[in-house]
Amino acid sequence: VNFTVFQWVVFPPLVLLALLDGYRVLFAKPTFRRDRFLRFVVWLVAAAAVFNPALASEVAAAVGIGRGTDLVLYLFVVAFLFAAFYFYSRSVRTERQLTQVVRHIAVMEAKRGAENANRS
Amino acid sequence: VSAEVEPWVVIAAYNEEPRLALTLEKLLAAGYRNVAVVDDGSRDATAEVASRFPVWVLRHLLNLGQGAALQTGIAFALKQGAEVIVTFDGDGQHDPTEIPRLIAPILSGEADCALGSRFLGKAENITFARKLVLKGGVLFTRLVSNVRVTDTHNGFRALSRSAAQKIKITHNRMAHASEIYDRIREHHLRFVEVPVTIRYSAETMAKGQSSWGAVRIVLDLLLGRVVK
Repeated sequence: VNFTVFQWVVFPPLVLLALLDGYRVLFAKPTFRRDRFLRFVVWLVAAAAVFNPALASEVAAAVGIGRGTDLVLYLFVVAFLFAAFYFYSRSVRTERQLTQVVRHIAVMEAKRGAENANRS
Repeated sequence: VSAEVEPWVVIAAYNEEPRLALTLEKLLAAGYRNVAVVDDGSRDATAEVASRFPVWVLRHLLNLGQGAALQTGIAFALKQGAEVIVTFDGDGQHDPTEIPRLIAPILSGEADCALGSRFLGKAENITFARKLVLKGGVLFTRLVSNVRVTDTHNGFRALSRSAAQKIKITHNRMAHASEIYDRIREHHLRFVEVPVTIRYSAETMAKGQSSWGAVRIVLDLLLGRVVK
C-alpha cells in the first residue's frame, strides 16, 4: 500500500476504534448498543475516506457537492448544530430537574424565624 | 374569597442582606404575618437576617434565579393554604402600604391576578435607560405574549389561589415575568393592573438588574419555547 504520512498516522487508529466498537456492539448491554453502532459506523466511514480520499469526492459529486472536503465540512456543520441543540435541551431539562429537587428540599425544610423581635 | 382572608407575601431574596431587614420591618409593621422569604442560594447572610424575624424562611441550596425562588415561595404558600399570594421584592423598592389596594380586586372576585404597574403609578428616581428598557419590555410582551399591559417585569403582583396553581413558573431566571403573561392568556385568567410606586434608590440600582439583562431574557424566552 502506498500511504502518505497522514494516512499512516490516522488510518490504523481509526481501524482499531472501529474494531473496538464493532466488538462492543456484539457484546454490549442492549441499552448502549445503538450508541456503539453509531460510533462504529462513524469510524468505519472515516477510515474508508482516509484509505481512499477519492471516495469522499465521488460521493460529493454524486450528491451535487463539488469537493469531498466540502462534503465533510457540511456534514460536520450539521453534526455540530445537532449536537449543540441536543446538549442545550439536555441542560435545560437537567436544570428543571435540579430545580425540582432544590425546591422540594427548600419547602420540606422551611423554618419559622424568631417570633420575638431580636433584630439587632 | 372572603374579606377575612390574610394574604401571603412571598419574597425572593438573593444577596439582600443589607436591604432585607428594613423590608421585613415595614411588612411586619403593616401587619402582614404570613411572609415567606426564599433565600435563593445567597452568598451573604440573607437567610440569617430573615431568621431574626417572625417569617418563614426557605433556602435554595443553589442559586437558581428569581423565577425559581418565586415559584418555590408560591408552592410553599399554596401548601400552607394561602388564598391570596403577593410577590414582593426584598430590596425595599415596593411599598407594603400598597398591598391592600393590590389585592382588593382579587378579594372582590373582580380578577384572578393583579399586576402592579409603575407606569400607571409612580416610578421614583427611575433612570432614562431603565425606563427605555422597560418600555421595550412592554412592547415585547404585547407582541409575543399578546397581553395588553402598561408595565412588565414588575415584581409586585397578587395572585388568587387558583391563579397561583395555574401559573407554574418554569423559567428560573428573569424571563419568568413574560411566562406569567403567557399563562394568564392560556388559562384566560382575568387580570387588572394596579398603579404602584417603585422606589429606585442608589442601593436598588447597585444591586438590581443590569439593563443588559433584557437581552438574556429575550434569549431565554425564545430558546425556552423550542425546548419542551
